[in-house]
Formats: sequence, C-alpha cells, structure tokens
Amino acid sequence: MAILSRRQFIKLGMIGVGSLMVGFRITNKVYAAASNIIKSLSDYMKERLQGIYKRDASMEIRCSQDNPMIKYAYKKFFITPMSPVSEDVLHTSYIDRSCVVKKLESEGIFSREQFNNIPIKYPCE
Amino acid sequence: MIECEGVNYLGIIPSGKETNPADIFFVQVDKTKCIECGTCSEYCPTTAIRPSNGNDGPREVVHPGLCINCGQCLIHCPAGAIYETVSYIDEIFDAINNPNKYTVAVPAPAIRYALSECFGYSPGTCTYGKMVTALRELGFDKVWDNQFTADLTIMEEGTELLKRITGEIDRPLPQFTSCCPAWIKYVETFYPELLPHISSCKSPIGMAAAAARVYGAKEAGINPNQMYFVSIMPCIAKKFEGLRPEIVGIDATITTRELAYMLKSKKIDFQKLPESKTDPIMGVSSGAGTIFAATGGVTEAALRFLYWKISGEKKEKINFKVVRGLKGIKEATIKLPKKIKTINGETDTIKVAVASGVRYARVLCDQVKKGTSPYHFIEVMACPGGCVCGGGEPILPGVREAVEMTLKRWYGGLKKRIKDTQEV
Repeated sequence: MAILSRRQFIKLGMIGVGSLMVGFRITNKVYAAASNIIKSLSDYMKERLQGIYKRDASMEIRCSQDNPMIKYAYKKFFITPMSPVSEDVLHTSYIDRSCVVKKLESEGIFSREQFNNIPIKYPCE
Repeated sequence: MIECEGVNYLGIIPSGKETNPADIFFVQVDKTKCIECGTCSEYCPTTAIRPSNGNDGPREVVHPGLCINCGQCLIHCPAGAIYETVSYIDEIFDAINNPNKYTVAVPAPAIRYALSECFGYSPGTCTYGKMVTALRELGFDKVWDNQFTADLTIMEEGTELLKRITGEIDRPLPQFTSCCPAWIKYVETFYPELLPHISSCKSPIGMAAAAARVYGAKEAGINPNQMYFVSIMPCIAKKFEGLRPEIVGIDATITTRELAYMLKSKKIDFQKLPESKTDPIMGVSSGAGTIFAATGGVTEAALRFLYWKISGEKKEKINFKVVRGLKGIKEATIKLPKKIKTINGETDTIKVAVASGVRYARVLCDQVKKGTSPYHFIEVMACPGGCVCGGGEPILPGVREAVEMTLKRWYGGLKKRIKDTQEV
C-alpha cells in the first residue's frame, strides 16, 4: 500500500470536509421541503414551460409551414406571406407615445434616470 | 367588484371606438389592502407603480401612460391588493344569450397550460381538449384556436425577417417580435426611435380577429356583421391591444382567471368534461404554434420556418433547445443549411436573442440604439417565462402564502422576545 504524501493527505481531507458540508446543505434543503415551502416560484414557472414542450413534442405537425390549414388559407385567400392581401389584413403600424413621457418628465412625475436604474433581474428568478 | 381566482375585477366595460386605451388604468391598487411591502415596484419594469406619498404609503399606479399593463405586479402581490379594472364577463354572457350574435372564442396557447390549475391540476398540465369542450358548454357558437394564427404569424414574420436580411425590403435589423402588447407599448413609450425595428406583423390575436371577419367567416358561412369575437388571453395588456384602433374586430378580451370564473359560475365540472377539438378552418395548429406560450417559443418557431425556407423548402430542423429556459437573455448563433445573400455579402449563420422579461429588453434596446447590436432577430416577452407566466394567468402557489408565513414567523419571534424580556 502506497503511503500518502502530505499534499495527497490534505487533498483527501479537503474532499472529505467539502462533501460533508455539501451533504449538510442538501439535508437543509430537504428539511425546507418538509416544512411546507416545497418549491420556489421559478420551479412552478419551469413546470409550466415543461408542459408546453411536452405537448410540442407529442404533436404530429411541428412546423408552421406543414400545417394543412395554413396551406389552405394561403391557397384560398392570402396568396403568399406578405402579399398585398396579407399586408392589408395581417400587418399593422405603431404609434409614437413618447410625448406622454416627456410631459410627465417635465412635471417631475417620471425620471429617465430612475428608469435607467431599474434593476434588470426579476425577484422571482 | 367580482373576484376571479383570487383577483378582483372592477368590471368596467370600455364602450365604443372613441375610447382611447392609453387613458385607462387597467391595473390599480386597493389602498385599503396594500401592506406597503414594495414587491410590486420590484417587478415593475417602468417605475409606474410607486408609494403614493413620496417614499411612503400604500402603492398606486401613478399614470396610465407609464404602465404597460404587463400585470407582473398583480400576480406577485402577496396581499392580493392589486386589481384589474376592465372586465367583459357580463357583456360576454349577454352576447352568448343573444340569438342575433354569433359568438366566437379564440383561446391563446398559454390558456390550456394554466386553466388546469384553477381546477385542481398541477402547473403545466395541458387540458386542450377539455378547454375546448368547456368553451362550447359555456355557449360559444364557434371555438377557433389562436395557435392557428400563431402559425400564420410565423409565416409572415419569418418571411419579413428573411426579406430584411436579404435587403429585399428596406427595414433595419435586428427585427423585434411584435406578439407581446406590453412590449409594444413599452417601445412606443420609451424607445420610439426603435419602432422601425418592430415586425409589422400584428400579434396572433390581431391577425385572428381580422382574418376571422374576412376569411374565417366566409369559409364557415357566418355573417361577419353578427360575429362577436372573444379573445381569451393570459394577459392584461391584451385588453389594451383589443381597444387599439389599428387592431380591428376584437369585441372582448378576458384573462385565464376570468374564464375560470365563468366556467365555475356556470357550474361546469371541468375535470369530468370529455375532450373535443377546435373548429378546423381556423383551429388546426402545429407544435410551433403551441410553443408561442413559452419564452423563446416564437424564436424557435421562426427558426423552424427559416431553416426550412433557406434549405430550399427541403430540410427541416425541429429542436433549437438553446433558446428554451428561464434565463433572462438567451443568445444563439444558428448555423443555416445554406448561405444566404445579405446587404453586405453573404452569411451562413443568423444571430438571435431572447429576452424573458421586458426589463432585460432594456439592455438589448440600448445596444440597438448605440448601433452595436449583433443580432438579426430579437424576441421580447414582457413577462419572465413568457405568456404562460403572464399577468392574466392564475396566481402561482406560494405567492399569497409567503406573506402569511412571514407574518406568522414575525409574530412567533415577537412573542418569544416579549417572553424573554419578561423573564429578565
């Protein structure tokens, strides 16, 4: 049997202590689970997302271009994507609403600086 | 005031086309219930919800112009103090009972994954078939599917993106998605200079409402003048969109919570309902249509279309897992099956970014403004997680309970401290 060098002994010791600590953390989590705070918000959000991808994987048609009723709609009415009919029925335009912000800024109700300082993370993450 | 799934509704029905949705508070705070914890401000992407007297006091939405109606404050309020003002429930019941009206229900992709929660299923359970039967039981004459128009959106939006890349149309890159009405109001209000970057496509429900009158009605033999079009959405901002003058044909918009309320008020036993399918003409959809409910879904659906289109309509690639998940900003460089011509040369990759939550979009918007954005396509959904976690969905477990737990713990701690001081 090989004798451990000092370095190897320390390394092994560290791994041992480390895994013990990780072990405690896991127990902690299990304890938290038992005390009724089972899942965090993001866990529930993930479950909802998983439901969607499960459904997607189980569907016969996976791509928009393979949807027979889409093909039918283009044949019967819309001709091709972005055809004049499509442009007329399915496309739109937008409105510049920034004047409201400018007015509120001059009244001291809105501050662009505060807006730029909003943290980008959401608390539920 | 009626209560739907723990959220209060004032029941205002905006009447007529003269109503400007920009003047309506869709979300407001009940000051008698507010516990001043500040959770709403922590979720607000625009500083619209604030303390009513400077730094203190119950919260309020200060101006409808600042609020993008995403409803993140509402679904995360631990005290249930935030309510919705607009609700079409009464009008919809009247329309259903009116023999001269032909009622059409169009549920969004996200409804089928969360309506189940109101009837005892676990989060994420898909109840498509039961949902369709439930809508027929309520008395709707026709049930179409917004997933069909999600597919239609991909055909239009994908084609638009390709034309922008090749320079066939003179519109700037990156192209932003246009499905999310809260995101659209965000750009219109805070980044108007980026409006040319927004896809000109209507949102799926905007397309559905317009197509229902000119195409669906003709194919199904309905008089378009009698049609009463109800959009069922996981979203409060969709109520705003339904009132926009550019969007034609939406008569009423309700959320998942209000639909659950309507089903419960009619004593429909959801769990026992048989399954049925949407009416075919605007009711058949693909997997690409259903993933619209998830963050990254529009991007993945568009990539499925683009890959096929660029390969000369031959090859298909289905899974683009890099754009899935809850991460705030997801980026990906996608290898194309063939080289395509661009304005300045050729490319065989496209770069996409997905913002899960409109706060992250601020970073991407600032890049575009500075001209340093490397992307071709950017998807933004105002709610973290996408529509399925939207402001109109049922409140997730744990949101309301959290405040009770904290209160009990605080009370317990206080009691102990009082006892300790007495012993000393």
